[in-house]
Amino acid sequence: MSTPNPTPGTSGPTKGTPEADARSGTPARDPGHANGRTPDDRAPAHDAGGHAPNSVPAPWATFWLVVLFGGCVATVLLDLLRDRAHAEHPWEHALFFYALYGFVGISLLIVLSKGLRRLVMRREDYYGDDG
Amino acid sequence: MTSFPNVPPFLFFFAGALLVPLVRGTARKVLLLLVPVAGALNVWGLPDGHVLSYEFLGHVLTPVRADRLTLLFGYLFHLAAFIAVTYSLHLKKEDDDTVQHTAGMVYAGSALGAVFAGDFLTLFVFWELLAVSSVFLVWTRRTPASLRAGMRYLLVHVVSGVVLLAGAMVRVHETGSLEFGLVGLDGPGGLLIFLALGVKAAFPLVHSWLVDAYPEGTATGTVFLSAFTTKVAVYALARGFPGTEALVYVGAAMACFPIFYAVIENDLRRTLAYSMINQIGFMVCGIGVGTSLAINGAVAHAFNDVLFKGLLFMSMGSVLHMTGKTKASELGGLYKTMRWTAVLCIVGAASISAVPLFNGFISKSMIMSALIYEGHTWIWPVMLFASAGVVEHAGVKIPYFAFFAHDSGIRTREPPWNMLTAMGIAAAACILVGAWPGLLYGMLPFDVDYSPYDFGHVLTQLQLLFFAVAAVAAFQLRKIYPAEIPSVNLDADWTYRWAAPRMVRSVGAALSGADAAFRRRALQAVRRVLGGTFRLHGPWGVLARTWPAGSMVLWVAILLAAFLLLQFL
Repeated sequence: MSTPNPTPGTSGPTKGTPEADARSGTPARDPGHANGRTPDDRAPAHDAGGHAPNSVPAPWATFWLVVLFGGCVATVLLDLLRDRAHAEHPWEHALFFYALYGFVGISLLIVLSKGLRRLVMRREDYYGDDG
Repeated sequence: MTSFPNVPPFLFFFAGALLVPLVRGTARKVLLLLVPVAGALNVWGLPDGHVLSYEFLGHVLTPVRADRLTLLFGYLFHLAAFIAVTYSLHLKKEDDDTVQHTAGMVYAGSALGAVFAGDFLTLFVFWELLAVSSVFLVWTRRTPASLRAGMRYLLVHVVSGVVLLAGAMVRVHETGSLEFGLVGLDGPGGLLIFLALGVKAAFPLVHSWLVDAYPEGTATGTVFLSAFTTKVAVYALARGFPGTEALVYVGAAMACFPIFYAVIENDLRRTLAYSMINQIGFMVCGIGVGTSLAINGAVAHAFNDVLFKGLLFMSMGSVLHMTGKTKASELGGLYKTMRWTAVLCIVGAASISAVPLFNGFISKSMIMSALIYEGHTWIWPVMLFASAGVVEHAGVKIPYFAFFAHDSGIRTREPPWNMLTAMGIAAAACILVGAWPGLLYGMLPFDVDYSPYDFGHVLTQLQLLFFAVAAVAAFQLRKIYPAEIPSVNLDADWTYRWAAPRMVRSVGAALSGADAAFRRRALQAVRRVLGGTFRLHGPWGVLARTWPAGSMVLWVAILLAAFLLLQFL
């Protein structure tokens, strides 16, 4: 799977922000979080400082996205041929059930994980010498 | 084929462990490769139903009990040992090669000893040996973090062994037998044994040792670690607790919670460790369902997990070996210089994601079908969600952030030939088993009447996979996918890595304050007594004066007079 990364100079954290620090390897500074929490991660760190070009050439990234899109379309079309009446689970009787479940499930997973990150993410040296 | 006279399987590895330190260079390599091959031939020759037992202090001990379940794990562990040994052939003196190779041999032997053990005492011995031998694979990383993580790992596992022994003792007391067979939660000592197995199987809340220690192991050591400990626990659960309904829910929890952590984890080997708990969740769930299809599925999934998880750990181990890094925030673009490693990693990713024609598909679908057949209609969607979650973190995240994504600028080369060969063997096995499921199905504990390759199964799985990947791609393109940030995520180990030490310190501080006050007061009291005594008996004390003998006589006379007076009164 390869998707293009943001190009340098697009919107994102500017150099010196905690996200940019995170990208460049410098320890994240603590903007007033006494309990050692790292700052939030609203923006992806990819484009911080403009030093992270995508490793996959754009044509290839586009190619793989087309393959992915084609796969989605093909499996959805073939779903019309599926013997849904004899499916094992009641939910499987629904048309495009797996497509919806996969997409919504993963979207939910990512959104909830971002929430979890706010709750549990700490700086790398959080445990210090004890951990 | 009986090339060997039914030698206990662990003996080959223990003999290998004794010989390894004596030889170096090519002889060491040949020896390391010969041990699992010879051991595998021996296990291949063990007949179903072979038992070796003897009496010890009035109890029957059974160091070897071969049936279809143990034999399958026997084959698996030999294959895993062969792959892991191949992967570690390049180790040199500065890598503590002798310690790592010896520990690897003892560890693999202990795992075999544990699955072939027919009684609890033998199981306990190998259970503890597993912990003691494997910790060296963490410690030889020789970083402060690995030393501390190794110590925590050792403590947790030794405690698990002690709990197992306690359960076994209760069992012996109640039944008079040490035999390790069906236990059940309600059986004598059942709960203690269940807890002991649960710790090793990384049940929720007692799982932290896995995500704590495995990523701290050496590049080669973690490959060994990923194969044995948890699979021994899965075997023991399948032996002792098949059909225990609680396991269905425990398994569902195990399959679900780690996938959230895996999304936000920066260390890719730690992501794989979370992924491992997720996969064990499927196995535990299958054991909980307990039908022949479910147990077959669970055991088959354990077999497959060793292959694809081993492959993924090997690919990340290769990255660690060549670049010294495993953090997503520091990696990216490695496909340019590690093409073969990237391809092999993708094979592992496809296998764990249960892509049809790869081995994960043929075992996971057995468990999923068994769930529906047994009426676990509400657990099935949970496991399906967990199944999609695997695609996100192991199927996409691992290969994507290591080999593609942003260009980290790291230019390296492929790992040594032995590492590539080991990964190649695992990848070939993943595809072989996936494409010809009959190869594995024929070895499962129960007869298999199941075909994963029908139109409905394949199509629905592909649909789930494509749309799961599409969701990840959409989040990436929208730039709202969780960024890779150097960080640590709090987990259950927070209790003993952060809270407990601080609690002990604060209780200690409070106690030492009280102790100091008590000592101070006690000293003051002692000083007062001493001062009073000194005043009375010191050089100038009233009781220390010297009195003339005459005054003594006078006092005696007065006392006598007083007595006489009292008599008359």
